[in-house]
Amino acid sequence: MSSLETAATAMLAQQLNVDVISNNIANVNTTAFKRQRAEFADLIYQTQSSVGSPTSDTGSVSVTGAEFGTGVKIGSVYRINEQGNLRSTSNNFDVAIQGKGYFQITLPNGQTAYTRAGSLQLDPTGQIVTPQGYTVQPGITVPSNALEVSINQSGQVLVKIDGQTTPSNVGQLQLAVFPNQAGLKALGDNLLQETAASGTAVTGTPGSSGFGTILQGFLETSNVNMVQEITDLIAAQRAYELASKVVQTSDEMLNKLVQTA
Amino acid sequence: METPLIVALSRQMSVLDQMDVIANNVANMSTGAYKAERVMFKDFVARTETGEPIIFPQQSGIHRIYNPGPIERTSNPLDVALRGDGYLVVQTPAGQRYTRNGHLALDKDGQLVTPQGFAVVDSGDRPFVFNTGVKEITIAKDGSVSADDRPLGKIKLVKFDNPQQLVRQGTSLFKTDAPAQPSTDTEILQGHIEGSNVEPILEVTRFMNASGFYEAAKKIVDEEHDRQRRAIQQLGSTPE
Repeated sequence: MSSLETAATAMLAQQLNVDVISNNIANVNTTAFKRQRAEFADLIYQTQSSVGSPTSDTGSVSVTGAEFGTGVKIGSVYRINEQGNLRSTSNNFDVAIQGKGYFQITLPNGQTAYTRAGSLQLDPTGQIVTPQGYTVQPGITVPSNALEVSINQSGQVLVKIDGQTTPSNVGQLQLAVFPNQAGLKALGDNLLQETAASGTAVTGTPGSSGFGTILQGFLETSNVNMVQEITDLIAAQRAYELASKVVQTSDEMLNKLVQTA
Repeated sequence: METPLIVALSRQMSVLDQMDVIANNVANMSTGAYKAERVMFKDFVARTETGEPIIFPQQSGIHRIYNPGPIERTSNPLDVALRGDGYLVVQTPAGQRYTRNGHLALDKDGQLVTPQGFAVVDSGDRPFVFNTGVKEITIAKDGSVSADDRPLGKIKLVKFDNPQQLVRQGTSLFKTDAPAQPSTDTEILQGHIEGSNVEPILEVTRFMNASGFYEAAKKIVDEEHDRQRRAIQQLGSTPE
């Protein structure tokens, strides 16, 4: 009798599903957070009688086999890379990406990470960094005597320096795109890392073909839809309850079996 | 003399099989495009010495219910739901397999694959490959795939005369030796996923029923046991 274990796999998978949903809800206000969805997959089947096995010596065959399923697992948890809304912040160093692409960040260990969260800052040397202080590639320094900083749609950082009439270009923000952005690995702190599944990053200028554009003074909000998450949470809870009821009934049946003996 | 016991026990065994199938249905309540299953029973007829029939219930197979599952919107451009009786064809190392679970993704080479990394094939049995930097992937209702308005091909959709012959392979994949026919009336809905067609309420009533039948069979076993004991005691007692 495998119904006990089968129902237990369901409880386990639904529990992980609730974990994913609660992480989405927790990140409803996280800049550029992409909601995740748990994908369920059925487990292997045990065959008691094969489909197509002969039922007589005159060539008739069974048209339905008897394969007993053994439950469910979480097949994958994937990010839904839908564009979040753009929220105006009027902060010069807040930049949102409209369309495809990620900013490239140099981690302290020298590796490159990727993010869409464009709440940028300046470090003590005037370099453009993330809130964690990691350099945004290619490493743009804003002079300390700059009066105004503007970042245009194609990622050029233009500063107006006291005494000059025309703004000067101090650098160009690049964007990276991937063949499979769902394959990026989340590192936390809004950072993602390239993996074998994502493919190699291709960098380019914002606004060029295949790349998004930059919007200064805006931040991309999380794409979590609260109503959807609450509905999913209720469905997961009910599925969990139902599976626990199957566990209980299977247990009662086993118990009676013991009494019979 | 043992016959009533064995009939009751065969009933209990078939109820346990039924319980296993119900548990798997409940476990897969949230599995994309999962189809609920039912156990079928048949009667095995034996005869007593006087020719009275004795009927043993016996599990004879598992039948899949092919009602469509509910279609959920996920907004993921690579999620597709199939409306109709068709299947997607995926290329695995062991040969072609069939699935209705349209949660697709791109792999590192830009190929359209299932979560296990098996390529979904087009009408010419070739995989779909997208260049890096493709902004928008559209999949039309008839299965035509295009990248930024450039057509790439049509997703291969097949159907089967008798889908009961499909053998489950786990992770929503099916295998069969039966020939696949092209399915022309299946529609593809991009940004949607077909849910599981398990009806929780039906499963609850079924396992409550199963539990009741199990108990009834147990009652017969118990009473038969008592009857036999009494018979042995009474018939076997020495007359005073």
